[in-house]
Amino acid sequence: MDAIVVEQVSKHFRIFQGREDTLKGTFARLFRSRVHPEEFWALRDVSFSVAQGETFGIIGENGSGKSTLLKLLCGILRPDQGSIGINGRVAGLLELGAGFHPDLTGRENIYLNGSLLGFSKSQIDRRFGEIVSFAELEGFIDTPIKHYSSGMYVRLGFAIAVNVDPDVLLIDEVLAVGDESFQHKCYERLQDFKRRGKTFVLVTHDLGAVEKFCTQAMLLRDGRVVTSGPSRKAVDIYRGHVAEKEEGALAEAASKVEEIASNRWGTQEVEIVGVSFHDANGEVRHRFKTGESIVIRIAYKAKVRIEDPVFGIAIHRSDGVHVTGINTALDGLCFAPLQGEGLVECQLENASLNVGSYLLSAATHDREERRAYDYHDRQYPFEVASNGGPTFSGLLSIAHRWRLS
Amino acid sequence: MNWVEIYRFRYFLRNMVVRDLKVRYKGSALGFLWSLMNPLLMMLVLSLVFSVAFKISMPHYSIFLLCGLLPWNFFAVSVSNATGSVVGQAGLLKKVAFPREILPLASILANLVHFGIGLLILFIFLIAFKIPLGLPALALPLVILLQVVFVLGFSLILSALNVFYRDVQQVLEVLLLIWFYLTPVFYSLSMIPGRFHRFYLLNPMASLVTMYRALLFENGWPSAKVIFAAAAISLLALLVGHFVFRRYQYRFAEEL
Repeated sequence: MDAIVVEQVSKHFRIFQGREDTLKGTFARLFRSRVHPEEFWALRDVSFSVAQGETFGIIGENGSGKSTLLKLLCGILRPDQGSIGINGRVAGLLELGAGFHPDLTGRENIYLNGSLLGFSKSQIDRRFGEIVSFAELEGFIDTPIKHYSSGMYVRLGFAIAVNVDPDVLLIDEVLAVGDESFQHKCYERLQDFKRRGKTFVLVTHDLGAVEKFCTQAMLLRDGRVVTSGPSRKAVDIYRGHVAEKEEGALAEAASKVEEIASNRWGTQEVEIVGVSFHDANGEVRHRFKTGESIVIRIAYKAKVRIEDPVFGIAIHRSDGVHVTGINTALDGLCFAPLQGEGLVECQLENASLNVGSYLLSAATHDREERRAYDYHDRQYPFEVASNGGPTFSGLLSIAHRWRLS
Repeated sequence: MNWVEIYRFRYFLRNMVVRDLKVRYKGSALGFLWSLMNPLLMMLVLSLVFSVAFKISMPHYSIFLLCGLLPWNFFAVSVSNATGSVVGQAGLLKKVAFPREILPLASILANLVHFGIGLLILFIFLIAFKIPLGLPALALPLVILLQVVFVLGFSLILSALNVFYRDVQQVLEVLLLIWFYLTPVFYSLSMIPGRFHRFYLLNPMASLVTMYRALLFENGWPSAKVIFAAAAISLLALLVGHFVFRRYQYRFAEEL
């Protein structure tokens, strides 16, 4: 049986420019030549269904219509076209602690919030203990919540929402908060939810969570359904879109090298005039898969004759962790004296970097590293994406083999 | 109005009413006593003005006045509070789905509590001044119900309109000022020449005040004409309010 059936739903908003929210504005509009408000379609012809007991993810960029869709499912907004059918009782968690009153205590807020979800006093009484222990707020339940930390606030909001036991739970991007152990607890509760045949819709940017929890997922783009089906597939397509977009952004960043001066130093006797990333076939790329070879090309221009030049590169993860640093001197290479323009290429064989964002530094200096000719510190971003193989933690995957005995 | 949903959210409605009652006198020294003092002080001022300055000589004029003043205050304050109730909860409306009618309804019910306290005082006066009370007084709940129907209908219209045009609240304040004089609060319908009566029948507050007075002050029954006029217009107001509110409630979250 389907818990949620959405058929051809469209929703548009009118955007008034310089809108006057008063009668005067209306009168003024009556006499002026007709100004048509701009129409903005937040959703267009969206159809999907969610079977009972399924965990369904909705993903997409900001502004793709995810939140509007969730508000429609909650009944806060109504579609302009199409229909939405939901079987069973719905609880929506669009914002943790919506309706919380800071001056009231945790206890009073549980009752107020529960009532806001349509529960009677006795129904809340029955769940009260469970909510408090789930939120781990036993010691603070009679403290006004304005004294709560943000973590406590979030725990209370989530504890209420999951303990009201709806048939359909709609959640918007709220699991990203709270500490790890609480998050873990939330996910456990949601698993339990699933086992009991409850339906659960998750709107999130956390693709990992979608892959982990959702059997089905839908990808929205500009208010339309791009794909709907097994969550792994939807997530892959979304990652593809993101990659395309990032490739463009990274290429743009790379083309702006000259403008960046803050992380650059050196005598400029040899100037690094360009750094580019390529794959093994020589194609320019900024996004690689784990284990792929990465070719780095450094174009230089030696203004004077340099006797003993050294070229080097370093890779940092975007959070500052130093992954590797190599140079031609350390590798025992000697260059002939340098003059004019040229190209240095370094091929990183099977670079088994973990998924993430990285920054490349490129430098040229003398053999003793006392004199930097040109040093570009962490100026060239690139990305590493999953190759679809087994995942691993840490920085690198080292070729390995297991043996059981 | 979706009565089933409102019933399901009755505990929320109760919480909203209690919150309204608590908030109003929060931080004031006399607190809840104000809901007694307010009509009494107003009665005092008005009876001084009219009996001393305008020399109205009517036995128990203050009580006569109070009989009109209490329902009027219930009406005016309820409608005024209810009109701002939806706009005032914009944050909640955008994030949580609950029957929106609860917001104006809660404002009205909170004022109904104040009205009840006022009526209690009125009864003390009626008994103290030995004004005869009889069978008609038992019909009081029906008149109150009729007034709630009218106030609710009117409030539903205004609270919905106020979301789209904030001027509604301002216009209402002026309107209430005029309306007060057009309602027989400090005078009685019998002081008005008969040819104007039919216009008065169009004002449900005039009919309602006349009904309250008949039951409590005159120990008699209101005329069928007055009852019919009040009932018809109140029901019409509720019907219109129901449709206006239903039609526009899904746009509240977009507009606010």
